[in-house]
Amino acid sequence: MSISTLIKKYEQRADYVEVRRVESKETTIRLDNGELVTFSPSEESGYSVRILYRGGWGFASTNGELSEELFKKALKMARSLGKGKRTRVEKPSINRSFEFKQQEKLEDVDISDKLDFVKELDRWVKKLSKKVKSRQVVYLDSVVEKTVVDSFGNEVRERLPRLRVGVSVVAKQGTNMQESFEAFDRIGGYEVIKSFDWQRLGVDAVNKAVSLLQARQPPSGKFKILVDQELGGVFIHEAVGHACESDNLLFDSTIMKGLEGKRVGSRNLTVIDDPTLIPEFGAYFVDDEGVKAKKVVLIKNGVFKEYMTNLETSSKFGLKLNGHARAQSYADEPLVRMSCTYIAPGDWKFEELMEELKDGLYLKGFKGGQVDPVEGTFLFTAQMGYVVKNGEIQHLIKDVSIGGFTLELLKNIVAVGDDLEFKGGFCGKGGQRMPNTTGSPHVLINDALVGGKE
Amino acid sequence: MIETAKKILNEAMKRGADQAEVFFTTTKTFGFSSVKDKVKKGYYHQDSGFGLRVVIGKRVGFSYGRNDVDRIVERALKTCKKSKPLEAEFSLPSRTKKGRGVFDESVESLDEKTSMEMVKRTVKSVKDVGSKVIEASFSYAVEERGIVNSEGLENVEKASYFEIGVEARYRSSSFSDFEYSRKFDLNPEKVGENAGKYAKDVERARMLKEDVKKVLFHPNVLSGLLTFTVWPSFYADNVQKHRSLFEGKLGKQVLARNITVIDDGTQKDGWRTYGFDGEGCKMKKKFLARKGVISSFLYDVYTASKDGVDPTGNGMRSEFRSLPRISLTNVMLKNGKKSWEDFLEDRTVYVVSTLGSFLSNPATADFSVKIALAYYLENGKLLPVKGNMLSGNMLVILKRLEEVSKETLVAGSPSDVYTYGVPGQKLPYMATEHVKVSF
Repeated sequence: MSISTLIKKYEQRADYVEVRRVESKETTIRLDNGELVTFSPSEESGYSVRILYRGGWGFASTNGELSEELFKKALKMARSLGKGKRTRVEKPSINRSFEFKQQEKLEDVDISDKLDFVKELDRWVKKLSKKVKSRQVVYLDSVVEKTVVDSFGNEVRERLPRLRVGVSVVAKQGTNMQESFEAFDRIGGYEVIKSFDWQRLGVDAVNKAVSLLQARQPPSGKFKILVDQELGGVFIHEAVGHACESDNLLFDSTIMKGLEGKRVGSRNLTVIDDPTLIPEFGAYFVDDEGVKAKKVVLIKNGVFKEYMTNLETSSKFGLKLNGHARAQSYADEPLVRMSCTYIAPGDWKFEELMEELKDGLYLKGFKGGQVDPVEGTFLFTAQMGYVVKNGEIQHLIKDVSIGGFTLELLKNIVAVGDDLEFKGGFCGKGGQRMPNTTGSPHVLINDALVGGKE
Repeated sequence: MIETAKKILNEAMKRGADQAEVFFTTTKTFGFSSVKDKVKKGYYHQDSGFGLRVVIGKRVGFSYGRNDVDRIVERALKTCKKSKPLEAEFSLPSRTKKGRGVFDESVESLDEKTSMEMVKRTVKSVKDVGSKVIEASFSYAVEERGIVNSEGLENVEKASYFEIGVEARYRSSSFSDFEYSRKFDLNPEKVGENAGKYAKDVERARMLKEDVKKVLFHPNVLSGLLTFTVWPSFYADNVQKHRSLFEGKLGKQVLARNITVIDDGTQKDGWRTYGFDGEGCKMKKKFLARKGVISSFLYDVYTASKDGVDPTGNGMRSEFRSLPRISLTNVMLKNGKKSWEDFLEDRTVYVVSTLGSFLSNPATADFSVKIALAYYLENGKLLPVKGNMLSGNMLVILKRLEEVSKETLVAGSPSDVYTYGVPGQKLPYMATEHVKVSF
């Protein structure tokens, strides 16, 4: 039976039926101190069937062929869970194909050319400093084609190429070891490799690790902080972005609940999630429920405006459907996710921000972050920073952790710079890892809690 | 499965491989989860395939796929030819008898009803202590894993996995708890009650503004910290690549005398106990540190041959798509004599849960995490605490360790490694004065 015949058959007994097919071709190359440790061109394909019946969802997936068994399994689960009234799902109709045109197709470039590039980058990094005792160069590319077919008669297809190159190094001096990581990524074909300054990438990674050898432990306590674009981006992603994912509403687990239209941060703060920012790494044309991606203003001048939504939350809470359901693979259920989340630029120049900071910490780069959306607390770690006295940069510090309550910190944003920059990466949620972009200008924040050992 | 695996193996050998190995898995996973207190979602995944590793001279290639023999072999040979020759000889292990894995047959007869019941029981026990449920879940998986190689090795076994997770809420506070086992012996009531009670304490908790004398780590906190600080230093590949804190320290007293660390891939019903590791080697029990003296590293086949030692059965593989990677099996930190409750003196902070342990620095063992829930003992009363930052260096703590408890718990988490560390760690409570609590 064809997909549409199967959908027709099962929609009789359900409120909504959706089939997603995903086919991906990926290449991963990893050189570890020049030694090729990962070299795996791979292909994956599979199907998932999602069925909704009276509020109960059944989801079944396989990395094999689509069979009626999946429909049966999904329906059985949905029907054993669903109770009460029929669930109404609304979805705009769409029958389209989206594709990002590559100039040089990733799937056509010989794998040995990719390997040669990685080796060249590795040789370059090796030459840069004697203090670098260990280095890793990683190349990832993927071409993912997905097709979503549903019981509304929609059929939508998207084909998206992505590419990412990363360099991580460990510098050592005596017993002191310091790590750093730099990456560049884009939606695009192999032409991306030719257009970006990969030598710069290596230099940045090495300089960071080597300079961190001289860094001191951060002080602890409350400080005025100036965060750079990278750290500002991570902060807004972790602390605000996750809280604006509307699936948290289903679980009553976001601090944003009930704050629609209310002030949640300083007037200087506007936060946007925009999946249409192709070729940024986290962007896309349609989400994994087959809904067209839309730009969402989460916070405007300090006032909470809108959530990111999926089919379930938009139907249940009467929110605008804005195409933020994303799944890592055919085997994963689409969750409400961010795409390209950023703080909109203000009008402060960097020098003015430093002057305004006067005494505090200037924090740069990020090592990662974690957030509790129920409680509204977060923790994020800057890779490095400087103690600033009287507007002048003093000594270098490392591994600076900042924790606290999100809403408190948002209100403490004093000034926002005019120098917005984006950075790609991956975000994990519910065991799924998605390409994401974060962005921010320099941002000045009062009274941040810093954890340190000094 | 094994017939196709042999076909792939023979084809690879026929097309010029000196040695070859096929690792294969078939997994069926079932799960149910709730949205707040109602069970609303069910899922089922079937996944199977083959991972082929080929060796030609000193070069190694790998590829995987579902069942397309030709493509799998062709890709593996291609990547092999392009790969850089290894520094040392690499030879696949020959035929070995498998050890004892863990398989609970009840996994094959579990149905929707029993699964939903597990979620409902968890939900009920959260509510019984007066908290609400954000999400509760129960999942189980049955896996068939096997390996064949050109040296005559041939092993197949079944494995079972069960897991409960719950996130409870009390007013604006939440707490997650979970339990996992290779046997169907989970206790939803305990998991739900813990999460519900702790959520209430998080709500009452305040940031601590006092000077702290001592910190006591719950095993779940310790597992997160150790995973991202000291444990990677026991991996032979990290040692060989100069990324280990214990490089050149074998046989030397590096840690405190009361620190004994054992990694045991044969542990009865252990979460990471299998009949054979991802390369077909028999799993072993070995001391990593004995009374503070570094006594062994964790090896896979390649790193072992590089150091001229026997592999330790730590070439772990989670599925057919992945290559073997050195990692812990069931790691154990030997317990002490006193009860953990005896460590609770005045001005002690007893830390139950933290955020951000994965941000630690394995190159230095420095960590800085945020307290999600702790208790501060003041004048004989335990006050719940949250929000403070906790920072220190795990190596320093293990060097100057004062005490570990006699009680141990299985810590770590299969689904939230970032917070709790790798699963299957058996750890005591640990008290130390060498941690800074800031506010």
